[in-house]
Amino acid sequence: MKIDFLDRYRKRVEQTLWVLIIYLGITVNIIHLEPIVSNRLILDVLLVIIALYTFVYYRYIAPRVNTPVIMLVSTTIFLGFSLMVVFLSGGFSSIYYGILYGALLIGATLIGSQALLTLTGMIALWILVQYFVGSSFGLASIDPLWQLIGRFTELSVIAFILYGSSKEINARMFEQQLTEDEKNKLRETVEREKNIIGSIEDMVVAIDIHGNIILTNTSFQKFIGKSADEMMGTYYQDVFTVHKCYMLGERKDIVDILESERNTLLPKHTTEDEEVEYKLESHKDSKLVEFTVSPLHDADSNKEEGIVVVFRDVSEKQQLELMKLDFVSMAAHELRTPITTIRGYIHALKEEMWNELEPDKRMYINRTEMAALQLVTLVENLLSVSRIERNSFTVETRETNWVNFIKQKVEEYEPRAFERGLNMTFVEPETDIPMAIVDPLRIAEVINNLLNNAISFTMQGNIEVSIEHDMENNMIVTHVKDTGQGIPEDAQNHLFEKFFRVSGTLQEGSKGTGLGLYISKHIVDMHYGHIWVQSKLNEGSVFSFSVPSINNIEIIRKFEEDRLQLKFNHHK
Amino acid sequence: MKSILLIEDDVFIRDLYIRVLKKEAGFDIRVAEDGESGLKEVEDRHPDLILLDVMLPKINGIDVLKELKQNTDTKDIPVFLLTNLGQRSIIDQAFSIGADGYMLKARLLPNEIVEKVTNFFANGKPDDDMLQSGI
Repeated sequence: MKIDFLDRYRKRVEQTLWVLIIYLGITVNIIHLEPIVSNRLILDVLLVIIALYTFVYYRYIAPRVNTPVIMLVSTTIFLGFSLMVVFLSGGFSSIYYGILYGALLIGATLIGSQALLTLTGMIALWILVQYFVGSSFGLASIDPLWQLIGRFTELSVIAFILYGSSKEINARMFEQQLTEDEKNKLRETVEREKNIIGSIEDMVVAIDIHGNIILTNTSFQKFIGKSADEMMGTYYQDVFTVHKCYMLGERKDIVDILESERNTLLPKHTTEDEEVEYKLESHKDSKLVEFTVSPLHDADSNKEEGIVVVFRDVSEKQQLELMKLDFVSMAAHELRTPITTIRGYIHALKEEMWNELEPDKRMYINRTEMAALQLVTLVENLLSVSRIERNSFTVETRETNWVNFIKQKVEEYEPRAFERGLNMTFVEPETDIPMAIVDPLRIAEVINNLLNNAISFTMQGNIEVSIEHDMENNMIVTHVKDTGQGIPEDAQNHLFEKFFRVSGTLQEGSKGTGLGLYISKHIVDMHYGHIWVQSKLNEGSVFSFSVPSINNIEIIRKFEEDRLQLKFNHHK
Repeated sequence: MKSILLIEDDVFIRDLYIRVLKKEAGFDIRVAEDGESGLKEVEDRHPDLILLDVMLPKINGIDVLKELKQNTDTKDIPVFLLTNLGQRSIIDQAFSIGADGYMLKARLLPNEIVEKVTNFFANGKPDDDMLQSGI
């Protein structure tokens, strides 16, 4: 509802007009009627009643009775009534009063003011009442000072009540009745705008100055997992938060961005600052985002009403950034591609030509195959070592049935051992072995490494795998015992170092990378376990390592702490 | 006859797998060199299985996977990641988007891949070692 300058002006004029006319009307009327009605008190009371009636009419009756017909009827009644009174009281004995009354009537009709017309009627009613009351009472005149005071009282009361109801009157006077057509157009526009906002992929939310949500779009609703109605009017921090995550070294300052931005209410764009990330978090999800904050202004008063925030999901961008930053991963990928090709085609050659090849040619192919496989292992080992060195080697632990796990591994390697004329067995544990808390993928690397080594370093004989429950320390110990060549004592001290290799005869194609035990040790360390060897030259070796059981509350707590620490460092 | 769509940009590797999957195992094989044409192939005719590389030009495999799994038409087509990327975070991300399995190319010979695919069609689910994430 737009009120332009002229209309505002008109409103003021009208209000002033009322007050003036009433005042003058009263004054002239009193002068005229004084001989008839001297008791000012009765007049005052009557006036207040009439003014109250006007107030009641506009505040309560008129808003409920909104039809043009009723308005027309009431206007006619008042108009008619006024004219009737004029005739009944024998016309206007005072010319001034007549002029004023006439002016009021004409003016009201011209402006089209329902209010003024009503008021005119009120005054007519008042005159009529005075006429009857006055003629029956015939009271003496009272002190002029009292008259003055009385007059001011009347004025104030009327002015006050009229001012109070002027808003209602104003509304009724300037009310725009929308036609059915206009209503439809409005509805269409609102729907269309809702659709536009709804189809924006970025997440949009508007918040008022008190921090309550006043608008959300579909993307935002999807992210939060709530409907528009559920979120409307709620305090925004109950629904989501935006944090700034610093990635500089160990600093983890988390600042509630919107809280600080909201207070300044300035348009703000987040920059692609490599050192800062913003995280949008709800009860069920979180995303890395870039966002823009813009102030909301009230269309009419230009007062700041709140802010609109638009979030853009950049977690993907982040992920790809990660891929680029991690040189070793990229290098590993690049290395693996030609290795895949080599292995694949050599194998294909073998398949298609095996029968046509002489034994020594077959050997060429076999050795190429083995070398290619070594490359695969080497790349993986290099990746692991690089992660270990960078302290970004992660361990995700869960409850694992240790006995089954080891049994399965032995079954897996048994054929390989058999191929080399070795006997690999799993010794059933005598006591009950509890569940272990390990990262199955990582710990598998350890057992793979030990079994591989056992096979490689044993020319003949047996490999025995057994499990023991160390109840005192709540650990589970696994032993891999072989009847191989054993390890010299001076070598035993360096066994778990990078690139350390024991010299001596090995199974064909089992040179290894010298990294296996180094990586295994690290994995076991990350499980808060131990790995060690007992060996005597020519008598074989026993490699043992321990992992925590589910009863090891202390280590489980440590795993939990590591996990939380990881969450903080995740956005590094 | 089951149809497989292979999305792989390296021509040597692509030929290697086509050879084995088509000749040896008799699957109906279609190929795409990148994510975009891969998605188009899926649209033209839904395959019974998609073998998806991750490091692809233009759109990467993870985005292709997202597209496939977010679209009600295609979200039920099984997708195996067939890649040389072993990064745990990426593999985990893929599984959370809805990947059905993961195979490290360098670790497997083509015939081993065929075996896993055949097992999948026979059992209705991938082998256990295909559900683990990488290093």
